[in-house]
Amino acid sequence: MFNAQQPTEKDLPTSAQLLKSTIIAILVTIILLVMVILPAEYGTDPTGVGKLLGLKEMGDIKMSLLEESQNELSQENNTSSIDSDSLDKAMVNNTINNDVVEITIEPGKAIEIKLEIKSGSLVQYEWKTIKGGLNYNLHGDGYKGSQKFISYKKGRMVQSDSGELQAEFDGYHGWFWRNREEFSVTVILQTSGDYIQIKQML
Amino acid sequence: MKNLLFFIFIHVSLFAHGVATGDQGYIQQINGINFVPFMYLGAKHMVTGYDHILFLVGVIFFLYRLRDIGIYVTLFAIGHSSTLIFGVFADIHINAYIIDAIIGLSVVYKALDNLGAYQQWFGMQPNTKITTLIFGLFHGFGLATKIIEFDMDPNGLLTNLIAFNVGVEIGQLLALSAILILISYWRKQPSFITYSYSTNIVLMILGFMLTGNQLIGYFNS
Repeated sequence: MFNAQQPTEKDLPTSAQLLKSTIIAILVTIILLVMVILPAEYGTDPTGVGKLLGLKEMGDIKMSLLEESQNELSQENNTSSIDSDSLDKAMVNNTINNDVVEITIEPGKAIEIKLEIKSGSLVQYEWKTIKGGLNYNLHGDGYKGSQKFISYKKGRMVQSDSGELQAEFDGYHGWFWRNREEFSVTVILQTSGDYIQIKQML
Repeated sequence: MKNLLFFIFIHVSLFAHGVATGDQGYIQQINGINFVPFMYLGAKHMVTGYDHILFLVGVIFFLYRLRDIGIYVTLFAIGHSSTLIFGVFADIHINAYIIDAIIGLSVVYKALDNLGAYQQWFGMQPNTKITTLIFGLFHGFGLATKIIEFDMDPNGLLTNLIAFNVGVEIGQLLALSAILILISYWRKQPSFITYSYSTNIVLMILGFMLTGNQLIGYFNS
């Protein structure tokens, strides 16, 4: 009936062997849990082995990303009324703007600078770091409630970038920079074009 | 309603500044060779991937000699390692739903094989070693699709991929050891033979469910 032969009693492990295997399995699990899984998932490293293996960094990054995304969520909920005010203002004051922003980012930290732009408007931009590279994501978010999101350009450990940004929709478009260097990185951003305002979101 | 809120939360947290969280978030933040972290991610993917685990349960269900278990697990590993590395480097985008549906069918296939269905229906037994290798190849494409979604940095990609693959093997060994211990306890009971028919039917149902779920996802996407 089955695609298999019946094992004889001597083919099977004894109860004592099985018990030994189970105890070993439990010990291995505890070791992995403390030395590998806790550091890699939560950045908690009671033994220091996680740091040695480079897994604590993984847990730390995951925790900071989670915290940032939760902060962002509560921020978004608080700023909804401001958004619609600035939208009204936008219809009156839509002129050519020029800005130069210089910001220093601590190791492991991130900042976000965005331009409020109407759909289709063009902005010239150029940014460079004084020393070191940054991970970046040039992206746009629609006004609160619109659910619109676009990523224009991304990069890792980049020192400079320039180009022309054309907004896909009304909203905030700009740069998310993360410093993964061991030292502080200063970035200088120049923008010029048809946008309403420049704003530090983070 | 609670599910809906959960979905919205996930949606927002994934797209806040376009930065993903969790494993994918981590991978997008790092650069260069990270051997142990990718090994960990490979092992985690295998241990938490119930489709691979189900297939392994099917493969070793009737195997009790360590030598046989070793042969089949090695064949499966050779299969999925080759397509994992090939799939990522050739940048082969097989639709994730389709590949996962095939993985579901591999579970169904193995359950029927265990039940001796092919001998009854077709009067022949397909070579189990070759089919294990072939399904290994499909499972590897599933892993490759996953890695392409991770959006790994090209810097140090091959080394990181090899690390991921080593991790997949470690994860497979860990999962396999746990399954083997549980099955060995059960195999000593008379109920093993009594219920092995229904257990393989359950395995088959789970395989069909995986397939159906993925096909629904495919037609909704």
